[in-house]
Amino acid sequence: MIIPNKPILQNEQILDYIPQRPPMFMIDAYYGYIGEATYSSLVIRPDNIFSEGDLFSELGMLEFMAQAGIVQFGTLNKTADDKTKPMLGFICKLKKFEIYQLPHIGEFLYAKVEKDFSSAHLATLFITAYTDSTIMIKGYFDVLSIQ
Amino acid sequence: MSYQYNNMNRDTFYSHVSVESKDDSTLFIVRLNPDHPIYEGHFPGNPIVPSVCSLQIIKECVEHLQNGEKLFYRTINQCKYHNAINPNITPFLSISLKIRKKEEEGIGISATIFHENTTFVTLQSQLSVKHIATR
Repeated sequence: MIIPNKPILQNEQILDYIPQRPPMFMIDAYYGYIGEATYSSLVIRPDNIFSEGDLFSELGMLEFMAQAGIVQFGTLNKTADDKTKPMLGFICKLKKFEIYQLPHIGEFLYAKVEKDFSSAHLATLFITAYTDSTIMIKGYFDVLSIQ
Repeated sequence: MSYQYNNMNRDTFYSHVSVESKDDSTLFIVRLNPDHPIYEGHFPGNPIVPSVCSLQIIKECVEHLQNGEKLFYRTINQCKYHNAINPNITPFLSISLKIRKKEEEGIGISATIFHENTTFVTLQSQLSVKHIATR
């Protein structure tokens, strides 16, 4: 799995692309496209609302993945000098999810977002979340534009 | 039974009002807390139940039927979000739950979250009674 290291958006910069705010804001860095996929990351902190004991829950991973997908969706067809508002989307369906493991507090969690299908207002994204070398969860999200 | 998100123990996200089993399904009624701090971020000025929190509610309903045993989602075959849930407009939710199969590998469930004639979430998934392996 690719470990991206050059973010193009970090922390508050990402807030332009997703409507979630703390304590539901779940992305630390967005790396843009590497090949055919986009990448995002989250450091799992003990004060994250989805941290349980020394682990991060599967529902926290789903929220992180959803937001990683929404960031990619918001940047579709948008160039760096495009000052218009990004397209906001919401998750309308989850499909074919498999959950293998839960990551630990302190680990970096990455999301790889691959576009399976997209039209003007709907996209199907295949998203894999992983730590350094281990896939934690993967599945399909349908994202619908709310604009 | 109620659920308190980690680090937000001063507020309860929801509480159970009633549980009723009939034939092969169980109907839970829960009451949402619209003042929970999670709505400060989802979304400011427009509180909507996060989709993953609706999955948390369903998981806890299954755990209730399993005598409180901790469960984990193993697979989500399909989960559809039909309508957004605003806790101020719809503070009471009904959860219809069917256990489809119990196997060594997990518990298959079908669940629907609704209120009166409005369906919010439908889910088919499998949960595990085993702790997910960690490194």
